[in-house]
Amino acid sequence: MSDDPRRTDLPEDDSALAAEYVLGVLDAAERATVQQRIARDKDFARLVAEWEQHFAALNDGFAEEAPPPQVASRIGRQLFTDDDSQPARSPGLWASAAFWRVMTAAALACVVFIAAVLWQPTPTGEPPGTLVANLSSEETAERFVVVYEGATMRLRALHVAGKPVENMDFELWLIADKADPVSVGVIGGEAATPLPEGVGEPVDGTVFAVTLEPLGGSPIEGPTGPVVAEGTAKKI
Amino acid sequence: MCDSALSPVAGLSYPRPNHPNSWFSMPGDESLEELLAQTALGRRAAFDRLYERTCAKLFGVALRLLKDRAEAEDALQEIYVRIWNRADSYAVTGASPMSWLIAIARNHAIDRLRARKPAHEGPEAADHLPDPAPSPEQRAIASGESQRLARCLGRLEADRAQAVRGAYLEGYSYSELAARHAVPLNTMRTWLRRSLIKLRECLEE
Repeated sequence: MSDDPRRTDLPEDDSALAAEYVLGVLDAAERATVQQRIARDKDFARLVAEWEQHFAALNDGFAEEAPPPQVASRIGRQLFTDDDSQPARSPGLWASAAFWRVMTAAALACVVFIAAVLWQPTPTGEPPGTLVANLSSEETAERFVVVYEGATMRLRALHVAGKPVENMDFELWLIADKADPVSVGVIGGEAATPLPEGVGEPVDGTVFAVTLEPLGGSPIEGPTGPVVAEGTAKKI
Repeated sequence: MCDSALSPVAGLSYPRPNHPNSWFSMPGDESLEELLAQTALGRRAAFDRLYERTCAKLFGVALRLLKDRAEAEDALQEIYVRIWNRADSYAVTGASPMSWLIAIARNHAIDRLRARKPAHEGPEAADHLPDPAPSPEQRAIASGESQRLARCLGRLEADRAQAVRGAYLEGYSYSELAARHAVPLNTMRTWLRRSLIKLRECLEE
């Protein structure tokens, strides 16, 4: 890369580098460098995502072709069974054994979360205290999923449809039994977070809502922006 | 549609088969967004259906780039393992689910191509590579986004637009492109980078 005098730190060079990466023309070492950069530089990662969207228009050029059925079984074996081909017995087991084996460093954060929050081995007879809320609105395309794991008192919000809004944040609110909304925090991090102090534990029927707020969240105690999605927590 | 026997043992595909609830019951016509969200929550049934609905496209991508069936099958396996592991990072990119899945597939296939021994990449080998077929992607100009890209590619010189398409659809590296277009490697780099900067200016108009 360094032998090319055109490579400087100008923004259009970053954009061109992102495009070269998306196109796939770089060699293995250059790709590895770019991949590390994507992992630590959010602005650069955004450029890559933009180019992926631009070039997605060429995706129709890839013809469909059904893979042989054994590929599906190989994926199933790799993800869902132990080394000795014993079937997984409980979610806890497949979280702890098969799953850990296949995960990569890059996926570490998300897998740790899923293993810890969703697949806690559950004592027999006791249903796990897990709540899920599916947040949406007829007026917007935004959808969020909120998962609360009672055993660890950790909560996670996923933005599953819609788009981030530039220079704004989505903020999650908990509304307990017609009380005033209490802020749970700004949505964005990958990790599950402990329920903030002063926020009552959600129960089946608790309402969650998401509003659009200035960066960092509402400057006052309650929401200031429009509600973009809401939904009710259900025990699963 | 593809066969999906992801679950090696019948009856284990639903982690919570008996829970009574509604929102997780799946009628079969869910959107890919929904299937990805469910996959992020560790629902194997959703992952299974995601596979059924998308594997032919992703296998097509791997096959076209790798040009080797056995390797494309290995690649497809790794691609879905990545999808399972990363489903929860889909959410906020703003991409359509299919574009996101195809980006994972392309990235993985290209990493494999670049990891191949350089013998595959020499100018001689490149001489025998088939030309990128111009027809399928040109026929497919339907949506606004693809019209915009096609229009902007059309403003580039023909051989440069062809280099961009060849790289995207066939996975050509800089050295392969240089060999195909019979120019020195650094010339090809400069060319393509200039073309990409022009392309972006046009796309942002």
